[in-house]
Amino acid sequence: MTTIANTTSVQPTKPWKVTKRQLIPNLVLLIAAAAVTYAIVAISPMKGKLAYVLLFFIFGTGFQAALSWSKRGKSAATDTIAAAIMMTGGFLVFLPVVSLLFTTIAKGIKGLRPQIFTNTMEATSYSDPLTSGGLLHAIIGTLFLILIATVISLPLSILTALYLTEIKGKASGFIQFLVQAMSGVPSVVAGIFIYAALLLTTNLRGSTIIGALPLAILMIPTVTRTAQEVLLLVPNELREAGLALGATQWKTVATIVVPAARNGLITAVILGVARIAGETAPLLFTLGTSDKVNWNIFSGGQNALPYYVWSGLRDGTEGGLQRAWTGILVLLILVLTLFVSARIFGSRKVK
Amino acid sequence: MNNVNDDNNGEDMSTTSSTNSLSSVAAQHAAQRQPGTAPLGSGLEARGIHAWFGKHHALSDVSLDFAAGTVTALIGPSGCGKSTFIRTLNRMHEFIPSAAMAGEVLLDGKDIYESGTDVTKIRLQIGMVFQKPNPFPSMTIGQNVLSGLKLAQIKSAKSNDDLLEECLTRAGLWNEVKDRLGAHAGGLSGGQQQRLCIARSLAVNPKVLLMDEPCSALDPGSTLRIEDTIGQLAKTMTIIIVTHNMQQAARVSDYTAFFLSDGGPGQMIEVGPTNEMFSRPKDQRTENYVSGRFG
Amino acid sequence: MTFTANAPKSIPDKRQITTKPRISDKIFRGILTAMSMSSLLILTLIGLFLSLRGFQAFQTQGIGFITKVDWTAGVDGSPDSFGLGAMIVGTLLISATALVIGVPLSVLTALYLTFYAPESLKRTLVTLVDLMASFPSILYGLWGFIVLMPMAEYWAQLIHKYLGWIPIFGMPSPAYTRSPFIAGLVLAIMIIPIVTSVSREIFNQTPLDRIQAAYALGATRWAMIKAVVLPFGASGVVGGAMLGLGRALGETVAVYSVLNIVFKVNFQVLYGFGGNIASMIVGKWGEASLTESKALLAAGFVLFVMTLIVNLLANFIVRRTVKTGK
Repeated sequence: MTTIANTTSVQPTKPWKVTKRQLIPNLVLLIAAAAVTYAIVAISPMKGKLAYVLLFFIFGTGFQAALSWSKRGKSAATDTIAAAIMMTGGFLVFLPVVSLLFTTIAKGIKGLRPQIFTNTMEATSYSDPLTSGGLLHAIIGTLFLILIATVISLPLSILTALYLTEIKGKASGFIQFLVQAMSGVPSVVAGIFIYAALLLTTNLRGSTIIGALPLAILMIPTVTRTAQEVLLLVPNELREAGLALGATQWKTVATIVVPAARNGLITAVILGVARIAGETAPLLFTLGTSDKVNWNIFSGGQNALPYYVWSGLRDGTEGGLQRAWTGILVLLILVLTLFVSARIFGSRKVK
Repeated sequence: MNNVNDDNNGEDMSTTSSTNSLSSVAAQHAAQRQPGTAPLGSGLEARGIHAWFGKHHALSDVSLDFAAGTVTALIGPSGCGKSTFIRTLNRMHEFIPSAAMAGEVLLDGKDIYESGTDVTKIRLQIGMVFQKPNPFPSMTIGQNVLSGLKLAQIKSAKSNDDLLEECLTRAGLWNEVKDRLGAHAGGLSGGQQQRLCIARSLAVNPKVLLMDEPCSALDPGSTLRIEDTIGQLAKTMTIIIVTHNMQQAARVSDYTAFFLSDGGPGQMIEVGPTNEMFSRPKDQRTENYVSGRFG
Repeated sequence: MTFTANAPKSIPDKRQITTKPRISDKIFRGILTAMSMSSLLILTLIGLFLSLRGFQAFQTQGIGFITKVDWTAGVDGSPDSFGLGAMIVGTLLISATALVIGVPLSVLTALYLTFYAPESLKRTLVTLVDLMASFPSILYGLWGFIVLMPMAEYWAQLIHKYLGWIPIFGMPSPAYTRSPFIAGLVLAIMIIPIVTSVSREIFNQTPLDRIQAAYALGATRWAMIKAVVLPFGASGVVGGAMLGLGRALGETVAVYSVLNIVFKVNFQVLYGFGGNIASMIVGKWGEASLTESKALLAAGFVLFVMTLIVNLLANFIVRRTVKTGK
């Protein structure tokens, strides 16, 4: 046994990585499984896409597992089968997402003409072809609702988050519990609550501002939770620095902590808006309805994108459904924009 | 990196006496070592092992030959690559995504990194005991011991009860748990849990047992019991133990290898029979370390 | 120099540390506390208004409001009979279907993402799952109605053909369209993002030392998952499934779009009619008289209580798993 001096240039390797050559038998087996699948479908009464998929899965996995068994024994075969099932499960989950995206784009784009952004439905009915009418009133309505809901919920949410992270008073556990409870309230319940509270026994009718109230209720838990997370990420040293300089707590929070968490708080609001932009159920009880833009947010019904889609769906005619798809495409673009913005703001470092 | 001992005439006195006591312990161990029954396999050999984490070269050109039936201690200051090295021996190093290596590890003459090798079979033959005891909390004591067989879906030639008793006895735990094999493993003390982990490794009948500072989280009493166990186990397998505790190395090992990093990758500086390493090391750096001048 | 340690004199009492907070801080604290209590206020108001306004329904129908299976508004002076029974059965049936289909798929996906997916693919897939969570429910309703329904009917026919001898898969006459099965299928897809996210978070926290112990014993990846990850994460997954359940219980427009709402009890999941409380409220709203409106509010109260309980339980379970790490 000897000691060895320093080396010259030895290259790092990863001998455990599975090489492409090692995968060739697996590929051959998959092709064999495909062949067997075709053969069986051809000669047996099983037909249809489902038959192909199921048979290919069974034979593909079975052959691979047999190969594993022969090379490395029983536990390797179980491992191969498990891996195949995991991959299939993951695949099955992503199919609907892809389908949702593609169908929306494919169907919605047919009705996506410039004039739909400038017209409303005051002179058109849903079943009319898409050359007339539009969804301007729905877009404006949605924007109104988002604005009002944000104005109402933002202060409440941020202040609640600040209570939980800065003051950490005795009620913190209880308030945390409440926020969690609120996050589980179904949107339809929020809607009928506002109805029961404000519309049932009064003369008030559905309007934009009333329609925004259930949305604010739904928004608060989301914004609070995210705001709490980002405020906790602000390093304590910053707070201590402020207090050590003799600042009061509220000044420290207002001038140091909140600006430090600014990007995260913006993310929190964006996520809240994304949550409510597509909500339909509460609007059915509180928004009233309208065929055109209603600039009076305090009185008179309003339309909104989800409601527009809902009306198209319920109309059921070809024109109606087409409007629904186009409406949902616009809504989806809105939600995706919010989603991407949230990601961007969430990952921006604070200078 | 000198130890300043004001009470002595020269610093050599105290350091020599500590080296002497280490080497006397090592000499005692060598004298007590009985030849055992035929050990399993033909030992483990590492040739030119390098290890990287991404671009960071952590271990450079380590070659060691572990003869069958021996106990080898790996000593050296923190961060010099001992744990990294030991993890290349049972292919646990590759779990870190940025890990890379070079060199060969031969078990019974065959390189365990050869393409197409079944790594799970390798780990059945080269077992590992970790620094922090990690029995499976969702299993009972008995289930823990047998878990290796269940995980690998292999059957032992012996019955479950016989195997349980044998492994727990070899690990020095049988008397303490024989009446409560159905109890959950979490109720055991740290030392007992570690012996349970040893028993668990033994159940799959490995040829080599790697131990990564197995006693550093335990009290002295448990430590001594486990050192006894190591002595017994060495009769039938090859043991490689990483330890920070030089007295422990002197107590249990036949051979000792000294690792050191001078800011660059860790290297194996010197290896030899334990009592020679502690009394007459060849390299000055080894001498400095074992005499307590640093580390 | 000698030093003798004296026996300590009596240990002094701890000093009370007090500060007199500045007025501005007191106001600050007060405002924050008040605003935070707003959540309490809102929840209480919801419960209050729904139960008060709906009280009349409870009063006249009694406990039968929950157990009766008939919902007919009295016409021209004949007594109303409002019973949620059929809708409760429907709610449970659809939610159960959603869980049975959605939870296993979510767990498989979460395991795949945590332990099997290559790094590059993983980020894309995780983004896709998060994206799924942000889709509006009306989109699921529209897509479910137009795209999924034909396929689901075909699958329902297959299930009925091979498993029709099991009572819940039977049906008195062939009617596959707009069944609870389809509604449950759409709901399953809707809850997958939540359950997958929660499961993924739990699996990611599996203690590394146990994972290493399993691998060091010669376990394959699946053997390790079975021995370490699943026992560790089981209760967390249950919590995640309950969160999904909470979502499914209150889902309105998606169900309304694909399900044929009829107010009779239906246990046979493939048979083309059913309902849940949420979609019933929406369905009956337009033409409801004052009394019936109040009954619908009472139904909303029942739904509120149901989802509240499920959600609180779910959060409790998830938090407990993350904390104890058993």
